[in-house]
Amino acid sequence: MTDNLVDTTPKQKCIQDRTTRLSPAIYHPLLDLDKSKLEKIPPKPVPPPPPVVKYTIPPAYDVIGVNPSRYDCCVQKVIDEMGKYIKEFKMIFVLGREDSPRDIVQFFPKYNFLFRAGTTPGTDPGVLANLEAHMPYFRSIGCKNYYYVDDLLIYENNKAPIKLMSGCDGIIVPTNQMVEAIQAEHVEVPIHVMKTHMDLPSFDMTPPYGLLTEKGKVNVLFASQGRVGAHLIVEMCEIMDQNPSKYKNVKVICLSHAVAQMRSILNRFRNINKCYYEYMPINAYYGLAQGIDIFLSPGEERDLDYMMDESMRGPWLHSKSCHKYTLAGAARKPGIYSPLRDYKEHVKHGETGFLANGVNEWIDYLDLLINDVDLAEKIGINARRDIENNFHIYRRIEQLVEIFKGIPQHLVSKKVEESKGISIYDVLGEDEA
Amino acid sequence: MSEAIKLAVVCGDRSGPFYHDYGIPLFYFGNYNLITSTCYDAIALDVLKGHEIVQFQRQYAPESLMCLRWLKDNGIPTVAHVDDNVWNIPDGNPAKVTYQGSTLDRFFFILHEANAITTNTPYLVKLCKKYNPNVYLFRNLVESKITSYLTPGRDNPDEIRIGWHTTPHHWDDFPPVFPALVELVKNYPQVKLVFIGWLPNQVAEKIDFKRFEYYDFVPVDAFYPCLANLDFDIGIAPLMDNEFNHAKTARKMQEYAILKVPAVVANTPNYREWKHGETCIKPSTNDPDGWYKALKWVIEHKKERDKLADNAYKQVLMNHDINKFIYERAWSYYEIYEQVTGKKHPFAEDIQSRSPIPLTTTRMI
Repeated sequence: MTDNLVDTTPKQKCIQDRTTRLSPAIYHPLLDLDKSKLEKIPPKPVPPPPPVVKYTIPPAYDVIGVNPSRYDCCVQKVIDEMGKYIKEFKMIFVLGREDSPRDIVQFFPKYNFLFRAGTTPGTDPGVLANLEAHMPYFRSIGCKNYYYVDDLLIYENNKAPIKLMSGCDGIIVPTNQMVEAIQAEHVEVPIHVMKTHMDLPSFDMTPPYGLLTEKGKVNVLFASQGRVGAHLIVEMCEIMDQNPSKYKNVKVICLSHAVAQMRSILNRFRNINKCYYEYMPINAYYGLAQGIDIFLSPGEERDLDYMMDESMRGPWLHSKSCHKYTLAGAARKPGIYSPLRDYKEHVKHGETGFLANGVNEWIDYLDLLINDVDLAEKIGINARRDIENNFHIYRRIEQLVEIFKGIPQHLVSKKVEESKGISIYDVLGEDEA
Repeated sequence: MSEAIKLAVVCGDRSGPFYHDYGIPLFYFGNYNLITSTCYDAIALDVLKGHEIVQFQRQYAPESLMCLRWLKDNGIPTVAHVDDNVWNIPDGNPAKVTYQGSTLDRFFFILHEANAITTNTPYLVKLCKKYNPNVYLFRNLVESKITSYLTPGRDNPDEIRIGWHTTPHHWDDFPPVFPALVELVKNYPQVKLVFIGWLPNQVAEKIDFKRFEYYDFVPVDAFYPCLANLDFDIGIAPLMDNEFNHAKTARKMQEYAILKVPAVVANTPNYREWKHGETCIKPSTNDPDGWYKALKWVIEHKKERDKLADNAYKQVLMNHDINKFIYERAWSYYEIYEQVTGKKHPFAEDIQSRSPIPLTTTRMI
């Protein structure tokens, strides 16, 4: 019976084994040595203790940008670009997971900034319902919700974006056309128009893209997401392809997401000098723009026939901001634009750019800008002045801070007007600048 | 008068494999009046019960399994589809994220409980047989009209464009080829590398950006016009000789062949159909030296590489032309229907009489 005093069941054996392995005080072989021998063994260097982790919770952010599906240009423009200049708020961006409040709550934000939430076609209805339900939840913990959208995507997923907007404390859009479209859906939340901006300090610091510094070439940029402007570019290329000697110094640069599609429709114009670039991070995009001589921004209703009903095409196009104009202006270069609403509001035809209808007008203005270098330069300088005065990122930052602080929009507009900066042209004069 | 069998395809995704195995063939089924087919992104029993046979593509949700059982109980034949070696996915491969845990378990349940399995390679047939004795082999189908997307001429006729259309799933197939490409770029100033779908990191890091082009994914329905216009002079298809890759088809070679692009493909069992020196070039060893020599030979022998492309084009039309072999694909569904229900579909004879090729079983015994 005494043999049974030691329990040899597997569980007990396991404990024994573990004790054998882990208890040097009892089983350490050095215990059998003489103390004198022990002293001769050089002491092992003691590693420094690990640093004490003081933070058990993540640092607090004031503004959290949340995007439903991807890190896109809106997030880059608002969170990355504006965020770095805003001293009043600390901003961070959280990708995806719109169905989970945990990602956001852990930052203890004061403001929750939803980018295009619910606009991805085919988003799970459960995800959308969950996101909608979080609006009052965030409000209950003292966090305000804002919605930002820069394309007329509000009808996606059975108007899910409209529902989400209705639960927010404010909506921010870049154009008046979008305000009208949202108001037509009876959304009663305050809508703030925050026009597109240009981060001129960053832009001016970006060197031109290496591939575009070929001497004697006129670099013409056609940048488009999707197929907007594709019809007109094909028509222009067709004309250029038939006059190879006339356009031998012109290089057509196509920039787009999935640019192989653009290549597949332009490849047949073998007499034109062309190159293609994929969608790139915003700094690289600025570098590309620095090497461009003429900017093209066409957009016609027929380009959208593959993606939406005829009645929607006009409003969708006219809701686009004049971003390409700000890019051209920043680069001090001229551009040709389709007469979309925001472009018509800001581009002074013949002074800061050209508004063109139909391929013949587009080609005429292109020829004019290629041949008349002085005119191109003058338009570029005018455009730059306009961008500095009206689209500088500093102006938008003031506006965004005021929106978050909750000052009514009419007062914000006045304040921005009063704080109009002094352009470098006002100080130096046009020639010196 | 009898009508074609009604097929429902429950889509798991709308990716490339779906497009090749269903998106395109379903269109031809309709064109040739072989099968009346519809694709569904969501499972709805009241809709599916109106069909005579239901195909599950990349389905592993709990409701997919329940749906499959319900269809079987109601006498509607069910077919599962396998297009990857989910049994042996290498660590680091993005597919491993999808096929794991309970998702993988349900996938196996679906394979086991479906009336039949369809798959694309003999290697996958062997693996599927462990779960279900009724395995049917799909032949890869290639549209001959892809050739019409090609644009004559070149922007820069002196350039030799070595292209690879790929995905990040091939990250471990690239290392043996990369040093060879670096050497080629160094030794042949006219060589330009073209990537579509994925740009390996090491290319962007080690190769001058003037010497390569990169194109992102495009929507699947735009893929062939885009691929045809990348102006490949030589196409490559690197592949490691491992169990995961053995399950892959030779689609890349077939696509190069239909576009008349001479190809250098890995010397693995996947490309057994394509003979070295006749329809393609295979590196003697799957290492930088083997790839360098193979590519060097193709670069330096313009006439011979054109001949390879011609032969490959003829072979792909002979063995994979969708206009011919769509009948064989359709016939698989009629066979499964007959096997499950025990009666021949009334429209089967009509197909047999119209088929340009003799229709034999695609069931693998």
